[in-house]
Amino acid sequence: MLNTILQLAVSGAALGFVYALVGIEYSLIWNATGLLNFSHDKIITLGAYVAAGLFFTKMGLPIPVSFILSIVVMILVGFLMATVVLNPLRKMTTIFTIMGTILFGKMIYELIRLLYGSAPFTVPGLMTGTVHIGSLVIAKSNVYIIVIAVIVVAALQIFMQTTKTGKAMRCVQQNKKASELMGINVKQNIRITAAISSVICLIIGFMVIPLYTVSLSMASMIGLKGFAAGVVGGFGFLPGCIVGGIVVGLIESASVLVIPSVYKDAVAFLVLIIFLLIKPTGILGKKS
Amino acid sequence: MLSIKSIDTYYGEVQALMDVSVEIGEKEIVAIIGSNGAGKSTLMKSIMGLVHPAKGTIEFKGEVISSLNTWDVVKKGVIYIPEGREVFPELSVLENLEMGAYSKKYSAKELKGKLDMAYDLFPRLKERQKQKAGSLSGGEQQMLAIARGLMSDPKLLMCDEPSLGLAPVIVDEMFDTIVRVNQEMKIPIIVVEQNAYMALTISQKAFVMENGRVVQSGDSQELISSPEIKKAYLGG
Repeated sequence: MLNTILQLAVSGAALGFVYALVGIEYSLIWNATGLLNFSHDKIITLGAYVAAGLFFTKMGLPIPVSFILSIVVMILVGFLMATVVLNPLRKMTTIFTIMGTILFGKMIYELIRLLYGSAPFTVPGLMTGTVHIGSLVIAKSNVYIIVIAVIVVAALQIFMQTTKTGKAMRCVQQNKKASELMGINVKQNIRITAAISSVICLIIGFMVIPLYTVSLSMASMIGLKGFAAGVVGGFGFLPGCIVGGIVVGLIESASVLVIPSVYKDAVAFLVLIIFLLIKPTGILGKKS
Repeated sequence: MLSIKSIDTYYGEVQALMDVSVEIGEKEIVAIIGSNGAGKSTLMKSIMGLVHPAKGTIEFKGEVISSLNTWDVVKKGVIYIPEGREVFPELSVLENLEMGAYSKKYSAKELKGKLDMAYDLFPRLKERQKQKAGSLSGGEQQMLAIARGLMSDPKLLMCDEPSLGLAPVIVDEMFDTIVRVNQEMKIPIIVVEQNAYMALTISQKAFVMENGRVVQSGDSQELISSPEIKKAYLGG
């Protein structure tokens, strides 16, 4: 029993970190532009396809090289998204901005389908195997996810707190007019934010390949659950995304102890609804 | 130094500035006075490129700046301290000041020098440098806004309603500081004010705006004693 609980805790934490990164990835865009990026799950999918489909499977490059080249591609995707969708739309009425990001996602989706077809595929040997600690058996993919996610979160924090561009990103979040008056190129800053968000999407897409295989719908569920994580932790607040993600991941993982595992996917949304009803600001959220 | 030549500025269909021309010389304090909605802030926003004039040009040191983006105007050394302070509430006082120097590539030593200057001007800010700017009082936020504006070594400073919502004793302190900055840094300062008496007292030159037009301009001392100005802006 103890082993089961520990195993569920590890896989729950790993899932939780995935949700946390999803929360962070769309919160960055929300904070910088006030727009909800409805294309984010498609960008996660694109990241997985570019890294695993294009560079690894098609071109036969080693995984680390594929990953680094994919970062370059995703930075360009972020710039493109900021230039054609986020910057032109952010001052418009909500309905245009919603449609804009949805359609951008739709274009990415159709592009992937045209280029790769709709058959899912796997990456043999990517983050497979298990680790044994005593009688406890943990999938290596879970360990990788947790380690990579912690590194990403730490790197993002250091970037936002210490670099000039990172500080400027925090200014743009808080007051765009004052940022411009400091000499910050707000449009450029939003492009950089979108690029960082896209790279995080790539990392998410890459990490979940062992869990979900590479398929067109691989990210739709984590996209929604990551949104739930953000709300549970505190919307638009990066530490909140981490707390919310881990809470949702652990509850979801533990739920199989008491309910049939086919209902597992509903748990995150149940938690979301409960939080919206009793504490809409989230665990760490501030009153606005 | 700054010359605004008959600009028209619109917000959508609404014309906010009509044929406005203003000249600012070296080292002087210039007051722009007028009631609410007269177009004072729109004039400032037009200079900063926050809105672009539909007609006319704005030249700074002989260069046309009226079509530049705000951040490029800032790089030319034109600094605007907006109405309502607009500090970054979630950043500390120190970080706010550092952001004031964003457009400059200072070495660590130069930055330290600028910070010392800011703290010398407003010692209160030094005491509160670790505090979040959002937790400061209105007067302290105004001090921070001015200090932040000075961090980038401006060539022209524009203060929009520095006295708005402040206690009278703090208002005096603000205006004293503006005069001090003008004398010590030897830069021209534009003061936009509804508090016409104060603005006219510290300035050498003034422009009076009404309904988007400059209706009167001249020597501040003369304006302060002109019967029309007295009646309209100085309470009789």
